[in-house]
Amino acid sequence: MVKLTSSDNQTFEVERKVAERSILTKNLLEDVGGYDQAIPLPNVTGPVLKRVLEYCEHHKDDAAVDAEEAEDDYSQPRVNEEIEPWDRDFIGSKQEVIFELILAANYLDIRSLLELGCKVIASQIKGKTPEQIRETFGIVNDFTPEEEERVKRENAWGEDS
Amino acid sequence: MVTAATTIQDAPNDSTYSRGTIKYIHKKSKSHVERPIRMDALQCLPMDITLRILGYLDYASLARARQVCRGWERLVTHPSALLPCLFALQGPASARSCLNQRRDGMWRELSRTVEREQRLDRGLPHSWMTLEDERREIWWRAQGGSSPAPQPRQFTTTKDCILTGMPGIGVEVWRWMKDEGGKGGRICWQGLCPTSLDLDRVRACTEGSRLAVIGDHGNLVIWDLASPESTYPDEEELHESCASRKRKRRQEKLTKSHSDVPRASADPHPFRKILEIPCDIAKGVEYPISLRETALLTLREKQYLTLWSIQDGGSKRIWSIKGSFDEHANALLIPLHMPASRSIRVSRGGGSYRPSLKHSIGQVLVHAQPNTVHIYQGLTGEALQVLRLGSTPHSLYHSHRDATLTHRRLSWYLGKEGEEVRIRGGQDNYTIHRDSSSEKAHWFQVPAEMIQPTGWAKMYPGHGSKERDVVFTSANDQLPGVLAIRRRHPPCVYEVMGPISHDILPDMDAPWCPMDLAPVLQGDHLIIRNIKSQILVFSFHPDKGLPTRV
Repeated sequence: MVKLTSSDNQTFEVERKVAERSILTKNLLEDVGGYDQAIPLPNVTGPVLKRVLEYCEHHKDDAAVDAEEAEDDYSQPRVNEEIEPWDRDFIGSKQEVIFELILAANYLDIRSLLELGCKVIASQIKGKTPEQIRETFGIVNDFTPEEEERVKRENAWGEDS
Repeated sequence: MVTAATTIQDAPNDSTYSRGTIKYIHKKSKSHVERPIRMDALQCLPMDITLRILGYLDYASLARARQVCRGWERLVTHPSALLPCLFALQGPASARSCLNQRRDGMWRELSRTVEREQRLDRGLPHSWMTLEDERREIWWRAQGGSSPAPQPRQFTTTKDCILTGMPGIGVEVWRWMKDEGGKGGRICWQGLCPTSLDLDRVRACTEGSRLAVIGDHGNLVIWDLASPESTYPDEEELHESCASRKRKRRQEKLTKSHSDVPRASADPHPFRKILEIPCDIAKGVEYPISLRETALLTLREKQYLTLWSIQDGGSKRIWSIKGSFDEHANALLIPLHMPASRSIRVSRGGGSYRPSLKHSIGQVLVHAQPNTVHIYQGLTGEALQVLRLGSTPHSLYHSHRDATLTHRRLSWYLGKEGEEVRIRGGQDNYTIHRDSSSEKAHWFQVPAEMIQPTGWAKMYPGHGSKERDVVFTSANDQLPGVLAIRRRHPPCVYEVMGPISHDILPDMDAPWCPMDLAPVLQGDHLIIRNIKSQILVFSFHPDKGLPTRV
């Protein structure tokens, strides 16, 4: 068993296999050959870490991700695979929650969770008009009317599909 | 095992909290004045995550996202955000070559690529498949170095070649080549069927491994794509070929005046020319729109639909219909098997050469606005019928024999040997059956009860009289099998009698059952061999409802 401590000093005890879904903790464990003490994770709060570990628990038997494989190549096309029903239920649609999980997954280096969060946020952008996107993400339109006209004109090709 | 009490939702809903670079202020009130004030989370995320999210967007979403605010405009035009999209559109080699461009340059490259795609889409006849759905299965590996990799546009009907249209250049042919061991493979450039016309669109159609395309001086050319042996051009050779074509095209554009008749391309091509049909370009370009074994259908100036007989190395204009066809009039030659007596012979010139148009052309279907499909007799051009559809089909597709292809709102089904053709548009469904007892084949409107949500139900026709016979449809989870009467006299309709129980279903494993197992409607009796191999006799009269067991 491995102990993990969040930034607000909540400690979670999980199986090593679960903790190793995170490349960060996996490397730590491999470097020191095991931890008696709790591993401090100062960038993740307790509630977020609990959700992350819930995800890792569910995916503990998935194929392990190699650290090198986890390196991203932006020149590769993104594969828009279907999101598993459990994952969809897990991540939900609340942006605040999703962004928290994305940041935690990025810090803990859990690629599958990061991908999941990014896909869900991307799906909230897809197919929406600029106004709908602003509404979804609570963004203020800071274009001047002239700029808005220009940017609309420049992107008209995107509408002709 | 996770041991902690709190959850992420436990974060207070009406307080301010922050974590890392992201900060939210939640308020309970939802009025427009007090709506939740949030920082733009996407801009607050680390750049690599933001780019990862944007990488999942298609070009249309990217173009819209750019219009959200200044910050998003900066994000969306970041080269790394555009690269996955360019990758999907152009292929890896071309996409990577754009990396050293400036931010604006990359965005322009994307818009140029998309506009080019859209132009090609508009120019291509609708029967060309866009391979969005199939792209997952085909990795397009650009081998042309920095030259843009064209998108796959259409499979040949044999599915072994992919054709791409390059306006003013011709139709390029690519083939999927399996690697040794057969585990993987790659798409290799096979050759070019050139056109000399500087048209803004390339039109071509295929049948088997044959391709009809506008060739030199506007003539119609039919190529045999199966002719070249499999070749693997190396990258250098391919790059040189692409570059050579581009040079030639630039040179032609420089030297050509508007009045010049465009010259034939001198590009070598490995395919065998089966036939060239001379056309008078002064009258307009004959666009090939449908090709069959013995016939070719063309459309000129949106007005003249012409059927050509193409047999034994010769060609002959059979008929030409003048009408008002949409630019994208989408026609198909439906190869219904017709009685032999329907075949005709046409003379060509005064010589003894008499090409014969065999029975492979049954009817010609042309989609025209609004929401109609016109049906002509293939042999004579006689207008037979107009089908009204509930929605405008974007495309007409025909299937490869037994298979059904469904695209958007219209689907076709061709039974074996042209025994049956089905067409579907919106909620309206029609079917035509081979009918040897009648000189004219009629289209039957099919009621919704006989159509399953996922497509056509299997239909089991039985024997009957000249006036009527019975048809069963297969059952599935969503729809029970139904028994219907097919009335042969106009108006030709299916009259649904009602759902039938499982044990009455005829024993027909195949969609097209052996005729000796088909149900027989004889007088007031319906005889069925059911799935338990029992012979059941029912008393049945169409006016008295469902059959009753005798």
